[in-house]
Amino acid sequence: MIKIENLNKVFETGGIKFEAIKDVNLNINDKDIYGIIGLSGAGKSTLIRCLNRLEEPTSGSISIEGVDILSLGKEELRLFRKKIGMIFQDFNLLKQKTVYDNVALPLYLEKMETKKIKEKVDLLLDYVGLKDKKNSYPSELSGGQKQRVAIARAIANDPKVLLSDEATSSLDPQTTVSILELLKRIQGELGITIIMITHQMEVVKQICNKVAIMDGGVVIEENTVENVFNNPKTTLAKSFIGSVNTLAEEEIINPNDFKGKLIRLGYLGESSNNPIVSQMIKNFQIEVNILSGSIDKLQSTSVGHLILELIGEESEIEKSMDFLKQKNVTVEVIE
Amino acid sequence: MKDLFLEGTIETLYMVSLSTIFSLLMGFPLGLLLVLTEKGGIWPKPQFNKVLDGVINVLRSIPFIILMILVFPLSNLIVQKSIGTTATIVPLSIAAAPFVARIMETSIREIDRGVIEMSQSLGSSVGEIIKYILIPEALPSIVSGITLVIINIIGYSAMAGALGGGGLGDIAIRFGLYKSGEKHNMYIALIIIILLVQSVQFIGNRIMFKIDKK
Repeated sequence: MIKIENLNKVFETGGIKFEAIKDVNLNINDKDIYGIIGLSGAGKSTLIRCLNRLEEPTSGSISIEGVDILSLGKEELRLFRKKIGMIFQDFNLLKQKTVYDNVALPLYLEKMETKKIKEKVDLLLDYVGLKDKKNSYPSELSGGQKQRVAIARAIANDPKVLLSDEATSSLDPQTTVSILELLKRIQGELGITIIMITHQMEVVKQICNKVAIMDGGVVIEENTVENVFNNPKTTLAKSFIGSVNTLAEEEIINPNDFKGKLIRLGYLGESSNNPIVSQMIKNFQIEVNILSGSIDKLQSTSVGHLILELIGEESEIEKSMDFLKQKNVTVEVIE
Repeated sequence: MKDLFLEGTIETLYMVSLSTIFSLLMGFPLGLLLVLTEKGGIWPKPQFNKVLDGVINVLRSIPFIILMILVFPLSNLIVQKSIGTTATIVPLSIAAAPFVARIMETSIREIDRGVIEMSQSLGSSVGEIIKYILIPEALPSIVSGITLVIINIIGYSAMAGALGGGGLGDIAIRFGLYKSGEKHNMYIALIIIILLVQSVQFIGNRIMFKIDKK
């Protein structure tokens, strides 16, 4: 369990203050894959770096597994950091060392016996699928392979928490998928908590169960991924979701071009099993025109979106919208 | 005549190799300290850093020939002589040490800040960062820097010849300046010095390319 309370970080350069994080409160449960999404400059990287104090928060509190990490002394912090793995956008591999030595680094730091190190590194390299690259140097690897090495290194100490700072941002879409699959496998098999900083909703959609959306140093929306996809509250959340599905079409659809009422429906996996729209048409005196639709596969379920034009009496339209709401479909009028 | 050059070459090699070792021993830790103690560094000691930086700059500003005279008393104290081949090692080492420090500093600065943060995220101590990150990652750059240092010391050692330092520089100056009929000896000494510099550069480059995995 990670508890972030009233966290603030102010940077000060040449007398100019910049509030990178403003009063952030988050609760991250064990085994969550928790996404923190935001545009660049939103403060998300600063936030994750506060979790292992690569960045010192200005005020607030952070507790990880019951340990108040801001109260740790230098040496205590150093030892505590061993329990938190971290991966980075630029991989941060040692360029002069082989894949083996890179993965072994945390174990060298633990002063583990050479024989045990060898066993463990072989296991880790096998786990991330890079057994044959053991003696290669980072310059000989692709971006995805480099990130796999970094992941193997980050989990070498059997951490409880893994921090991922834009780990897939410099990878192509296909490689991103494979790295995300690896992270998901790690979370499932090793039972660790992963905190993912990203600016790609695709990442959140694929592996996260919860998401916080940051803007200007503030967490503006926080919920399960299903709920955010189903019913995004803020404009930023909507635009992030729009970036991963056909919702972008919504912008092209201009309500003034239609005589009926335009509504946007959002529904979760279970609701999509029922023929709700056809029931609605049968029950009420309305005509329905489907303008756009999409289904997003999330980590645990799927979220569907439909944009409909409802034509008919105002009262009938109201009734049909109430009907949809009763069926656990979120309804939003597009104006 | 052949013996003269053989002896001169051996003297030069003796001066250069020992001075290189001593200057590395002094400059290496200084360079490390320069990076570690800077503001925002791994082991920040900004006051100390400023002083160290100043001292290194002052040392680097002193022309070698003057430094040599200035450290006569020190040479005397250490090797019981103020002139001669062995005595010259003292000013040569002192002159090259701040240069080594700067080279060390630049080489370490080339390391990506992210790599150092990565090692901090793994819970490394300052000593561990030096051992596992800074030195191994900067090594190719340090090697190429050491090549420069040796070449510099060869140059200085030739200059030391003017003040009775011995070696090839001494021969070149003696024959070039004072014995008008034997100027060719100066050229021979010069050619040997050029060959020495070339081989050091060649070997240095070879080692660097071999160890650099970037």
